[in-house]
Amino acid sequence: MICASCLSDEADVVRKERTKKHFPFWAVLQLAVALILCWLAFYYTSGFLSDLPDEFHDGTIWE
Amino acid sequence: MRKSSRRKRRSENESGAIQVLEEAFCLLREIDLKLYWHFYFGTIPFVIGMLYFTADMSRSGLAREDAAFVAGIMVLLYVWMRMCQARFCEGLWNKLSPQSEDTVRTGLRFRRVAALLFLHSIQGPLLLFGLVTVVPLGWIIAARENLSVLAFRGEAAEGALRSLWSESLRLSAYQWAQNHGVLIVLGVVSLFMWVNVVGTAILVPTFAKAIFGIDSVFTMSPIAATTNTTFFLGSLLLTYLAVAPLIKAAYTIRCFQARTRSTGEDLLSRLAEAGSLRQSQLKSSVLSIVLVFSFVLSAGAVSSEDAVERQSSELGEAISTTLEQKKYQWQLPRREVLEAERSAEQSWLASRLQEVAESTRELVEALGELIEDWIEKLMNNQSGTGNADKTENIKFFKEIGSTMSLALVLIVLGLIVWVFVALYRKHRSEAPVEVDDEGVGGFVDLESEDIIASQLPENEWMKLAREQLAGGDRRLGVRALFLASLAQLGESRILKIARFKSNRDYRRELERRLRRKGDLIPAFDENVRQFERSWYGTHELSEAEVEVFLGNHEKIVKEAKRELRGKTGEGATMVVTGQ
Repeated sequence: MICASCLSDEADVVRKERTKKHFPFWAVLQLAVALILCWLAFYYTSGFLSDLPDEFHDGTIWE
Repeated sequence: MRKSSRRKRRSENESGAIQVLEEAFCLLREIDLKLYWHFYFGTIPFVIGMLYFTADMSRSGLAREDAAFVAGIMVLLYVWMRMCQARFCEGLWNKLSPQSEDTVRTGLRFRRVAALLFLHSIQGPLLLFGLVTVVPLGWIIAARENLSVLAFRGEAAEGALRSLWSESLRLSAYQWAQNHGVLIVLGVVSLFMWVNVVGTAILVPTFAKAIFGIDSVFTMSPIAATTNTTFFLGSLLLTYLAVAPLIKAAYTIRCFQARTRSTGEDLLSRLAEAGSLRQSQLKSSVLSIVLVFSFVLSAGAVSSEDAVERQSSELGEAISTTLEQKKYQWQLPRREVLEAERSAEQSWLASRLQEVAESTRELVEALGELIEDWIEKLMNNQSGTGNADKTENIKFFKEIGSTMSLALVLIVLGLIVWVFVALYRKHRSEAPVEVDDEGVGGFVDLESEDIIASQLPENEWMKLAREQLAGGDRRLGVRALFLASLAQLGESRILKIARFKSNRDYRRELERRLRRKGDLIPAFDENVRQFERSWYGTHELSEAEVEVFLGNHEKIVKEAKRELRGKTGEGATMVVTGQ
């Protein structure tokens, strides 16, 4: 027999050990993919913006 | 019959979009300054960076060379913003449920942040899909907002990505009509906010010139200053800064409501003590004062440091450094440098945009001519041979009928009519006497849990109360008396009676809306206590207690009428002063 608080303490220890053991490989991969995707999005946005003619940025294209 | 009653029951259980937004406003008013600090500390740098990024990439001569580096900076700012917004949503949730134990442990936060960023990074194609297909857009936006709300909630150690994504999707489907209502209202609010931002940006420089004689680009060439992409984006970003906390709060409340249906967390949080909140408010105000002082002191220090630097640096170096700055690169005619290449081959996108602009202009002109012809024909048909007045009318219509202005007038008129219709409907729905839920005119079952104080006026409730007390049923009599008090407070426009509100909600509303506290709140408190003991508990009220209850009710009625007189008197005074 083991009391509830001792059991939960033991479970906490096991959980902590489990989280310590595993290197968060998938999390790092997700983060890396996210950063690359965001960078690509911003990079191509910059290309798109610089491709737009000056008249569009100045608003004279609509005159 | 069954179908309609089921629908009615469901609509009673579900809260509407306006209610969610009202709760979101209340939540934003109640949270600590610290949370706003979290939000704007993450969002303002991104907004400034975005403005700089767009302006630099669209005007700088070295845009291509700098693009990779600037995109990297923008990614960092974006990541920081998303993390701060998730932290903000976590704070909002904790405010809704102070005793919540559903937060993610520190060790798992990294996984959740990675999952959050990954899901946000793939949201672009999803949003595009939603914009093209329109129908699923509401669900996609809801799922996207839910990501920030749920990022730091739950205990899923393994499969953080899967759990975050599935939970966001699941909650996005919760009360879809409410979600779309929220989106429509927020869209209208954002539009008006944007109009305000643009109006302020134009009006303030105009006043500055009129009063102080200060010239700016807005006064020298308002059209050129406002029709460029930088101004447009700047105004949109300012609108985002103003509206984003409301969006986050609305979706936090939606997620909270959806989750508490199965966990009952809202009931637990209401039962829990919230005494420490006052202390945290005090702490945050002290913190803000300290920050202001430190800012003032550091500003002084910085200015003295600048002076020392200026003395020590040489003039030649300063000039060369200044000329290398970005803002002077913008002045360089980059088109002159690239003109030869550009004139030889104009890019595909540029030529397409020019074509779009040309065709739009032609379309608008053609529409204008069409409407002008139509108005002229109409007037000619009506006038027959014609006389001087009719020709004047045609002239007038020609002037305003230059197409767009006429369309705008029609839209404004339509909006005014719509507002009047909406107000009239609201007025009708707020009529004091309503047919009760059972549909039996005039009969109210005091035993029913479905009755509401606005169903009858105060005197009718009093009549019912007297009948019950005379018949010896104090429990029902006191209930009718309590409903009479609420009805009186509703008629005096101190409370807004609603089915979903609890007695505690009414108590809070009283504190918020009463300008003169007086005896009303203590009397109301005592009556609530007695009523709840008798109605929900097993306490049997004595005759003396009923007398006290009645006395309190009279106090409430008296104070409510005084408050109403104060309001109407104030209105009358304002009218007289205005005259």
